[in-house]
Amino acid sequence: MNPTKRKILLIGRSGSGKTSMRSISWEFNFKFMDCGGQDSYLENFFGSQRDRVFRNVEVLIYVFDVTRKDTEKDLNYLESSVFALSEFSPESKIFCLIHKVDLIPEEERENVIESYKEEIMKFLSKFSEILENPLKVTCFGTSIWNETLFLAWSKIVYSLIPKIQLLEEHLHSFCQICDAEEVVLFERSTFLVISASSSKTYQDIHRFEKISKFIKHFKLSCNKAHSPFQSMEIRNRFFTAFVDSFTANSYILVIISDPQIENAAISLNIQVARNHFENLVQKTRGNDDNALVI
Amino acid sequence: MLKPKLLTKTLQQTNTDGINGTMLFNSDGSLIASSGDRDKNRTIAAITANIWQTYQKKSNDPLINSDLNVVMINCKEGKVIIKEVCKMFLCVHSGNDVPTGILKEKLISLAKFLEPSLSKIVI
Ligand SMILES: Nc1nc2c(ncn2[C@@H]2O[C@H](COP(=O)(O)OP(=O)(O)O)[C@@H](O)[C@H]2O)c(=O)[nH]1
Repeated sequence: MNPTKRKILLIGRSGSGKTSMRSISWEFNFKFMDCGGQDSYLENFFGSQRDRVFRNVEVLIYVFDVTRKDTEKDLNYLESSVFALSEFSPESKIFCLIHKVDLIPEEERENVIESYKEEIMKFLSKFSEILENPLKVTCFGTSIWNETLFLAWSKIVYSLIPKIQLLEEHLHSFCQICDAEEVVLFERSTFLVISASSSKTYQDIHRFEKISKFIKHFKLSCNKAHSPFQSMEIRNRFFTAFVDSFTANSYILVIISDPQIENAAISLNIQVARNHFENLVQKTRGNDDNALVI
Repeated sequence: MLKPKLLTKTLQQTNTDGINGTMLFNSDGSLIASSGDRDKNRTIAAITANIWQTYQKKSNDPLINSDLNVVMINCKEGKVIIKEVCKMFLCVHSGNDVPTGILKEKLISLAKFLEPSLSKIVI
């Protein structure tokens, strides 16, 4: 199994924000094909190198810069990409990031994103008659200055995991069996959220991103000290949190708020679940050598 | 997998007729679940796990040459009895007024009851 086989194409014009975006995902298991973005360079990708670039693509991410007014040009690039994909990677998924939304006044943001979405969808709808496979397109408004980019990338990772529903069901049972308040699965290298199960509703919808950032930093410090991060337990008045290495490509976070529950019981359950999920992942992967293994 | 709350409830049911505490702990002496005074249980678990390990090490001695079955400790203030179940340890403790035979029977029947579930937890 070689995760680098999976290709993610990150396309966008020069200055649209691709390079700065990669800080959230540069550790990604997959190989990024960043098409530079300079207009002449970009044109090259739709010319002579077309088949090399668009073969074996799992996901195409097109980055729109909201501050640019000439959207037609972007739509044309997107059109060429979609055509190329339909030829060389017809099963691939397409994500459009409407990027730098922080530069739009907050009260207009929603509307601007919506109208972008509409424009993109309308533009792409004409393909439904031409192409054999229905297009799978999802749009997100994003910015490097808030949680939106983290959420969008988490959704992208989510879409890449085979049989994710099955995995979620099992995570949900795990949460219930453990009497946990919340259980979260993070992708190992990026610490993006793969899946979560909660037994109550939380006020803070940005908590995953905060936790992710926090553990990522801690992990980096551990690496600097040449003692790689394995797990941690945090206990305060309100809860106990366990972060532990889980399957080959994931970490698990378990939150327990019942003070009667002993830490050793949870550690034991995580150990047992680890084997269970590892088997589950093996099974769901089946013959698909390219699948993202969590 | 362990259901912590259910396990605690099960252990609680043993705490009758003078038994003060019942607990399950792992080989390093950390509580997995317990009923009764928690701090006391924690201390007893830590100490008895250590005692068990010490004796277990000796079990290879040609003079003994037998695995430990149960360990019973009589103290001035009470009695403690421990048994291994699926690589974990089950323990009950009581005051001195409880006959050792009864304490032992309770422990063994609890161990029998828990064993089928605990054996599914393969580590
Ligand atoms: N305000 C704002 N600026 C951004 C955002 N993302 C990127 N930028 C800026 O846009 C500029 C171009 O970004 P870069 O990543 O180099 O674009 P690339 O050419 O597509 O790789 C840089 O100055 C970034 O700081 C964003 O979400 N909000």
